[in-house]
Amino acid sequence: MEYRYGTAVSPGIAIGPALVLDTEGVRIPNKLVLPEQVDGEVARLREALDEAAAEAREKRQRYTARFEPAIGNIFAAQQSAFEDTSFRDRLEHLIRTNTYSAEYAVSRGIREQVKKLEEAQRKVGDLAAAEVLRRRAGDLIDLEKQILSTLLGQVPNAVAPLGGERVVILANDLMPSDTADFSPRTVWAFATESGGPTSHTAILAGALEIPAVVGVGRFLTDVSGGDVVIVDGDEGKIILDPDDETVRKYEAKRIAGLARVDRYEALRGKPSVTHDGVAIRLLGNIELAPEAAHCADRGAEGVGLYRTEFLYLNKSSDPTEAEHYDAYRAVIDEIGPNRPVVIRTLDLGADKFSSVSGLLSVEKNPFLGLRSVRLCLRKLDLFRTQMRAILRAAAHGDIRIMFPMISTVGELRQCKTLLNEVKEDLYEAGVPYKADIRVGTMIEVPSAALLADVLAREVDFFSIGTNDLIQYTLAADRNNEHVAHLYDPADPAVLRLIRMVVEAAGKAGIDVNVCGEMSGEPLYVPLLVGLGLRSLSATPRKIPEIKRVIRQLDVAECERVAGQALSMDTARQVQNLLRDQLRRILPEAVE
Amino acid sequence: MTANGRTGEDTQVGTTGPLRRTVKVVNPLGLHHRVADRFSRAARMFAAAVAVTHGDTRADGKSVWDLMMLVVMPDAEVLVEVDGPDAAAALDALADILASPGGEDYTI
Repeated sequence: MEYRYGTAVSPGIAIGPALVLDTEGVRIPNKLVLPEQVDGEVARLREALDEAAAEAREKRQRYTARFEPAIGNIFAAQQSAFEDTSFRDRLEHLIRTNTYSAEYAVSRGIREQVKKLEEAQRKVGDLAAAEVLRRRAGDLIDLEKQILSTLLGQVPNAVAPLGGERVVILANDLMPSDTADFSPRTVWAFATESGGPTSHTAILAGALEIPAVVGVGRFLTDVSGGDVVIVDGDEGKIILDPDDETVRKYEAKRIAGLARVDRYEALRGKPSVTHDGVAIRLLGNIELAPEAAHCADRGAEGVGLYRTEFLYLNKSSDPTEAEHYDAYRAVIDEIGPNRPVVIRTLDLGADKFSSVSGLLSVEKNPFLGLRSVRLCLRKLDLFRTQMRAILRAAAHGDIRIMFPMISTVGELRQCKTLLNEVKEDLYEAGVPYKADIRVGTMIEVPSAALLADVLAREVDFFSIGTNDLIQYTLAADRNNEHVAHLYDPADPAVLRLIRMVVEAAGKAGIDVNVCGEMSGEPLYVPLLVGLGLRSLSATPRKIPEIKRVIRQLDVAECERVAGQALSMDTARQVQNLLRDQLRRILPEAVE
Repeated sequence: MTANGRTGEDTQVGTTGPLRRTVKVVNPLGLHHRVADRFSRAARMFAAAVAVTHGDTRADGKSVWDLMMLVVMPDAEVLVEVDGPDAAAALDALADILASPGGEDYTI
């Protein structure tokens, strides 16, 4: 039994068999087979090794012809490993003596050697030697990956449940394309080696309401597919190879946690109004249509942010208009025609698209590069397709459209012009659509916050995307552990920008909402209300808790706190102020 | 160091036993995957049995996997042991691979 510690990003306890995804998403499935299947597994192993060797031989010839022989030699060496009698004997021995599946034997056989190299790496003093060993371990992992993808028939990204069993997903980090098929029905929990509290994994786990721990550090070589793992999303722990007593203890904790969730259900029907009678609109952030039901279940008035990136990921071609339309209609079906649904147009980097990969060489600084609305304005077909689907779906519900990552008023005007063109096309074609669809813009770039008064004249609503606004304001990547401490929602620079946006919206008489992670944190809710926000959008799971905070608030008191926070010098001072205040109004919400 | 990675006199058990030579691995990456591959490919071309010992671990010199598992770092010494009719020729050829800095560059 081994404990590992990371950052808790989505609460709850899970106990289940591991499914290990490496960085390329190869899946390592079931651990054991029946004794009568052993011969079959050995045969599968031999076949897979033969095939992997043949592939390596073919690559060697291809690369030697095109490049220098030294490149081809890499594949020659791989071929030799796949054909190596000693290696094969070891793997077959693992299958025969332990009734391991072929996949598990490969994983165990290689990982026991990787571990040996890692131990040697810890012992050597100098960095150069450690690097030599690290590269050798990398060579071995590469061999494992190739054999497994051969064994599994080249479906590296398909994460299906293992024999119908729910699994705990373990990975270095999860890419959006890995996770598009995940659902609470197939996945118990996530644990990743890297990533921070606002990484994709964290957001997705929150969205799916699956326990998750990220930033655990290296542990994948210590676990193989099928091993039982406990993920403690409350305390940020994972337990490898737990003993029976620990499993029992955590099973009891898991059941107690489910009961706690039920208590919040009681708040569902109560209005989201402060103690002194000011209504605060609560909306949900979603990525997948079924989550719209979570919003309604938790008492949200609608969807404040529907991220549409999932439509684009995990597929070889861009989504068609029909695919967009069906997805949007599905959200309306879940939540009803009278509740607002704000659809954010595509907000992804160019690197995620097969269809635009020719548009640019590798970007040195993708977060400041061609992404999000900038990319859409270069790929007008893609953008028009999405706009058409949104306008058509809006004829059947209260759908609104929102543009992400706007950094100049020119970009916003271009988007609106294009939207008008699409409306005209639909009108001429006699296709039903919503002519007076409400148009909004995200405020997530400091330039947009500074020019909020200008942008406010162009749109019906603002939504402040705090995750990016904080990242761009403080120039700190929230997933980079070396600078993550700079990324702080309570930084006075961020608060000043939020205040500017709220004031500009107020003067123009348009709505303003906050849809970043910040609005889902009880700690920041009084501050946001004090800064003048009357609409918050958060992960559905967070809504009952936020409503509970709101119902205790006094707006005048919140305004006083916000005023104090704005005059402070550092994020730390603001954090302390907010913690003190939350402790007064809702002691149990503060650790 | 003399030719063929020789760090001292070769030793032999009796007049028919295996030939042994201690060789320093000069490759800057040590006995890594590609050097091990070249070594084992060369070893398989001889009739003689080949063993490589590093510390207290002994590997079949004809197995790339076994050689990799020795975890030999740059500048470490290994004992190459060759037993068979073509032992002398094999020992020179194999020691040469370990003793040359570009031991992974081969075309077979």
